[in-house]
Amino acid sequence: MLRKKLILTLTLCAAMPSALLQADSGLKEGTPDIKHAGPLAFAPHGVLLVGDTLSAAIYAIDTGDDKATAGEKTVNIEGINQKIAAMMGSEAADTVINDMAVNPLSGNLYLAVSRGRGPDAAPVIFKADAKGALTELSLKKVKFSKAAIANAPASQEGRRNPRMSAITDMQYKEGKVVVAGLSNEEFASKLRVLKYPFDGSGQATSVEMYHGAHGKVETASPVRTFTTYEDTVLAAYTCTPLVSIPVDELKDGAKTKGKTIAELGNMNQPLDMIVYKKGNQDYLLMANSARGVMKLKLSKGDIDATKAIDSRIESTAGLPFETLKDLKDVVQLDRLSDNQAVLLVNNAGRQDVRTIDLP
Amino acid sequence: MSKFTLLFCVLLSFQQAPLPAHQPDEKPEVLIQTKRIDGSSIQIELRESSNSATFSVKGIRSLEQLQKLPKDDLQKLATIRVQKSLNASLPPLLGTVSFIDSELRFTSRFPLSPSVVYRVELSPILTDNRDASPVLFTAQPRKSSPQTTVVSVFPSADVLPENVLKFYIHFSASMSRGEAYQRVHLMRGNTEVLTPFLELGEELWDAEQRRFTLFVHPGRIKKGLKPREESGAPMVDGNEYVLRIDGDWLDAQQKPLREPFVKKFRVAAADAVQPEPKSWKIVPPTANSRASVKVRFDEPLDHSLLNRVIRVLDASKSEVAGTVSVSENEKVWSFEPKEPWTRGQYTLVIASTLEDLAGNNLARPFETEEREDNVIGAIESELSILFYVSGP
Repeated sequence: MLRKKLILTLTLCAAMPSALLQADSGLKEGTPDIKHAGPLAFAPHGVLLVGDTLSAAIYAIDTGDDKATAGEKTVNIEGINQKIAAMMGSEAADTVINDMAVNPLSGNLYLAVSRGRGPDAAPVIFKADAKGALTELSLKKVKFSKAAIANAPASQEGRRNPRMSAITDMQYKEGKVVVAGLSNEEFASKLRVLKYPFDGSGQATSVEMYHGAHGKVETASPVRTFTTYEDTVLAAYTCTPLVSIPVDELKDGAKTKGKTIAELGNMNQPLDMIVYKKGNQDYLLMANSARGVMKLKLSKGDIDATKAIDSRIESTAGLPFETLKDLKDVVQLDRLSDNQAVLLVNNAGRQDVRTIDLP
Repeated sequence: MSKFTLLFCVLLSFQQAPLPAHQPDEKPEVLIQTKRIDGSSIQIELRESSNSATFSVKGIRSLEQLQKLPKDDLQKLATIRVQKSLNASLPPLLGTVSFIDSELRFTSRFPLSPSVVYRVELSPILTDNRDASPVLFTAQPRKSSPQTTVVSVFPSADVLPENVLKFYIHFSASMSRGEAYQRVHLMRGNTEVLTPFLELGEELWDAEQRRFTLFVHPGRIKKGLKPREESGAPMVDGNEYVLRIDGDWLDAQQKPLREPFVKKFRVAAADAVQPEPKSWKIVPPTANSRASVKVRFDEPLDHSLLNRVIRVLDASKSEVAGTVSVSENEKVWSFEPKEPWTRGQYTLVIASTLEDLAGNNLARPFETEEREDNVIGAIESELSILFYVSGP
């Protein structure tokens, strides 16, 4: 009898639709009022997180794309910006791909797009499968939830409130969504941590970030892009120190200080980065505006053992890195499978999606 | 049927009345153009609304047969493409095809783009198996609007500290995103200063894209940081500079500015000192008047923050409604109340995030010597300054 019960339970579990697995995710059916589709990230069960600077919110959207597909996939799409523009009845010059993220379950690629460059540009999310087929992710009657990251104070009656916090990057890590933001008024860099599933409080932990850059001088430079590795946030700043911050230190209202573990070169903007494993070694892959794609060996031990860079350095310092010469003009990257990455590459006025083997 | 049941039915039918086809903020469809396919009974009408466009194909002969087609085949009856995308064999427009009465309608997912030429390709089944050539439609051009100009640039003073941190560029209308850093130049004489600004892909605009925030590269301001070591400070004490804004920066209507804009300024010594509220002078108004309360600073402060981060509270700690203005090169903040002042105590509440031109705020200087006794208080704390309104 007991055995029968067990089998029945197991059968029920196997047949349990993903909707049930997500029962506690707080997603409700409706049409999210997204005003700008910026940074993208994936939460579990194929839930896409969309950062919206204009609404000062993060949306969690059930894509329904939650079927695991094992093995290698290859997504290669030439002129993806031109294709998307044509589908939207617009022109490539009037189409902006703001971010790209791979659904780690299905391996499908998601792109946050603006149709237009003015303040009323329409936000659109496209999906590309391994065959390169592009479809729009409809936002009508989808399961979603929303977390405000609002910091805009109530404006006085009739007064425009021009304050905004641009969302510069976003990552999901074990029940938390970490969001990097940059104000268009105060010079301050903030990391916010939201519990996921969003608890509806609309409250985000707000942390002011500093890093010891030289001697005893502190700086509040903005975080350009970041990723999570083990129990740390690895954040790349604008000029281009790589800084580690323990996730546990991201507490509400706290002032936390990161440790500069590498200086990756001047006159450069870090654009995007991922962490991956090859053999038994972890690596960080980072795309840059001026200094190509860099690869660093990572280990928690090295991060802990590396002496923080706190003295004047000649060019680059800290953890060693190599620049991958055959990867040029990469503006976005994400991990496609255990052995592959997918890149968005600027190529003479058009943008291409390319799959590479992880170096 | 009782009267009540009847009433209920009437109410019910009211509620089930079809909703208007468009949302309140959506403009109704407007007929743009009608085109006929030569030697055929077919004619195509283009209607545009603010959210989509409809191409209606009329005069179809074998209607009954076509209406029975499965959905996927229906979709193949009419294809719309951007004419320019034809050579690159790009995909057609997203949209849905359906029969409404005797018309075949393609409704586009997105509105048409101004002045773009669209090509309507109909299946030979519709055109009685004739090789009808595609029909071209041109979307309506943008409505003409006055040319956009740069209205002002802050800080407005002619002399700025060497470590000035940001500029705000205000425009007369909404601008286009994506080319800001190509359109703004820092010139010293005829020489352009290379990479003086922090270039952020997101571009820091306000929601209407009428104000652009331009940060000077902080790595080049801060002492001891690598960008500054390698390339030097972007601006040096004693020199004259010009912030040049190109006239070909496109506004949201994709039209260039009316003219270029230049802001000339001289650079003075760096400012590494936090604003000092003790040295501010408050000019209180008199009771029963709507005269402004003024605060005069001993240095210019950040224009946008001045407009936002100072509030006036009355004796009962309620916020006083009124209008803020900033004048005299951002050295004076004024507040005109909506209702006359009454005698008694008021409080100015100032967020510690208020910065001077070099990014030093009330809580911390831009560059901080790390010391244990220099721990910053609560982030976004506030400073309160009392003033008294006297008079009759």
